[in-house]
Amino acid sequence: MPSLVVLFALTLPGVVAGSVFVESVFAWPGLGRLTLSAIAARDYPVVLGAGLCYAAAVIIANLVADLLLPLLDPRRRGRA
Amino acid sequence: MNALRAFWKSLDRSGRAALIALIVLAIGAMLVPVLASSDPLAIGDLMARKLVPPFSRDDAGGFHLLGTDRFGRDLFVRMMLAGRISLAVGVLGSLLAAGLGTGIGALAGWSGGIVDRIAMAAADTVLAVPRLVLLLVCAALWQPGTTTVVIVLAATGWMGVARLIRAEVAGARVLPYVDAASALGVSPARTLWRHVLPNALGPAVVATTLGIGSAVMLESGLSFLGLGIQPPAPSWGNMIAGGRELIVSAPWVSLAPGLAVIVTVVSATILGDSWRDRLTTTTSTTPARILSERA
Repeated sequence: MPSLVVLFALTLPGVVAGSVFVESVFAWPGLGRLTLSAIAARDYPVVLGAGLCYAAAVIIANLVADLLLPLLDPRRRGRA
Repeated sequence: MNALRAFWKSLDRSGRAALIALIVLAIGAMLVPVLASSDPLAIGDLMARKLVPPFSRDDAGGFHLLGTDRFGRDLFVRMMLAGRISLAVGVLGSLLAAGLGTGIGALAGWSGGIVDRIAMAAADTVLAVPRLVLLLVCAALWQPGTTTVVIVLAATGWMGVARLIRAEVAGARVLPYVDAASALGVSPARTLWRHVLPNALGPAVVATTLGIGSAVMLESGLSFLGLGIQPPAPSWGNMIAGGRELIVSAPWVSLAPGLAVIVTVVSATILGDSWRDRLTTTTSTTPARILSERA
């Protein structure tokens, strides 16, 4: 189970990034399509912001996993 | 030749099938565009030849194994020409990544200390961000094209190999044969190059083979989004994108290159897995290990 949580934390940002494909195929107006149109328009501030969002997804997913791990695995409790 | 035979014998059955599939695809990509009667880029008689279904003849009598796209270009020839670009970009990208990773990993593992820390911190940083995002951002920074895709694939794919090589080199550094080499007066650089690296290369080669699959996949993805190989030149990704609006009326336009991507990626993965199984006693690349390292 703990390794599953780690796996989840690692795949979640990938899924968020994968939304680029899903959104462009099904024409959903989301972050992925925003990134794409910003790249096509060479709108760097928007690309930068989108990159920041993906980075936030990475950090949040890892944080959630790190916080969940001690709950699931008693051996990790009480350690820094 | 003997080395090749030994390699062939060491693969299991699925690994051999994957190797054959890849070789057939590569040979097809090399030969078919040369031997083809029609120019895969030229747009000819549109009305007579557009959207011919697979295994049938167009109005002018020309046979099309996989049909034609909406500009009347033969899909089979185009797919093989695209295979040249896609396979070349995938293989070149992961080879460059492997070279970069080997260099950085060897340097980090061999020198240790601050160099090691900096290199591994850099690897961890790049590894933390999804590769697709890095690719998108890099594609946004430079003109899209073949060279850009190769460079970007290399720049975002070196970390796995670097970590493997670093671990192997750092482990080998304390082994007696390194002491023996230095006692005989061999310079550190030569020891690293001639004695340590050949022993550390096995897992990295496997990782590179596995990486070819994901490189081809990412290249197709980028081209699909219009950020990779640019249209008149065919690549599997932009062929799929080109057939997207026709997916209901003429599904073969997207299906053919899609199948090519699937065959390539699955073959590369199976081949890498099979190769790893044979090295399994010496490698440290089990999924659990990679996960715990990444975590």
